[in-house]
Amino acid sequence: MNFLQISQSIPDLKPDILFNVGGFPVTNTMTLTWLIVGLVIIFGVLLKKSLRLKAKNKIQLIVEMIIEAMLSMLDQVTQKRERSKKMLPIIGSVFLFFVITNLITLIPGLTSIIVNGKALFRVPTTDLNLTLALAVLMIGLTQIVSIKSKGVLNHMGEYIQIKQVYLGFKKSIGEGLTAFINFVMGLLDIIGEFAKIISLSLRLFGNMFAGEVLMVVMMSFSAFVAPSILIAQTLLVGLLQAMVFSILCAVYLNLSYN
Amino acid sequence: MELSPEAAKYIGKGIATLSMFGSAIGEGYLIGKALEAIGRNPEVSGRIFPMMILGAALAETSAIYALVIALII
Repeated sequence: MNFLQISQSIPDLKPDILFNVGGFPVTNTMTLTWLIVGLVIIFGVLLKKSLRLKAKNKIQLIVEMIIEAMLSMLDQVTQKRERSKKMLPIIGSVFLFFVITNLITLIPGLTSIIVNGKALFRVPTTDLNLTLALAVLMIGLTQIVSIKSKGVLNHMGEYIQIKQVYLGFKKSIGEGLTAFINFVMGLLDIIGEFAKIISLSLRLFGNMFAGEVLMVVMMSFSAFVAPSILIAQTLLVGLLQAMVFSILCAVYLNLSYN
Repeated sequence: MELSPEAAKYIGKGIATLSMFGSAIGEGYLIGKALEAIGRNPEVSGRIFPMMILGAALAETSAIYALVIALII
């Protein structure tokens, strides 16, 4: 092994457990997640204090720009300004959270702090638990919104289309059979909801974890110059995957409104 | 001939990577079509380009699933 090649072990799928709090394991992804959440909350509270109608400090202008950009992105999905304003708090915060968690890997040395032989921090999105939890939350939210805007029976009727079958057979046999096919398709939509959760969570997790693994492989191959390409790619992929996650959530939420 | 579990594992990993075929074909088709559309009317390139990037990220998903499977094996 020469100085050009740095060999590390390929990161494990599951994060290391640092300590237990009342039988509840605290992992190294959780520490970084809560650190980020805390910092964002402090930033928000501090910014709220210095908000002015005519912005004087640059930070307020930057935040306004980001929010405006997110609103125009949501407008492309919803086509309605009021609805995108309604969806901005949840979609925007998910987007910002994932942007920060994905890009925090660019801070040098952050994931190399070792305490008791275990890394203190690990990039949160390289843990399937976080992405799966957020995907379950977002799909659960779409179900709640759907029930709220259409009523329980209409919402259930989307998956179990027994009414359309009845109406179709009343008209003619042919229409009844098409309605029956739609009925089976509606049942498949129930599986589709679970597929949404799996695809949302695995997409983000897979991309970020692949980045980590590729970085380790690249480091053992050549530790200089070559990884910089991968770091630049991480910048792109991190932003892109955060965008994909939040836009897909926005699309699902928008579908559940009408 | 006896196949050791270790060898079978590596063969499985190799087979899992085959799904990248589909992902690559899809991505190439998508980007080609997007460039065609931009070539036809360049004014809307600002709207097509972000959609293309989004689509490429979605098309990449199947390859990512393959990677997850290869890592789990």
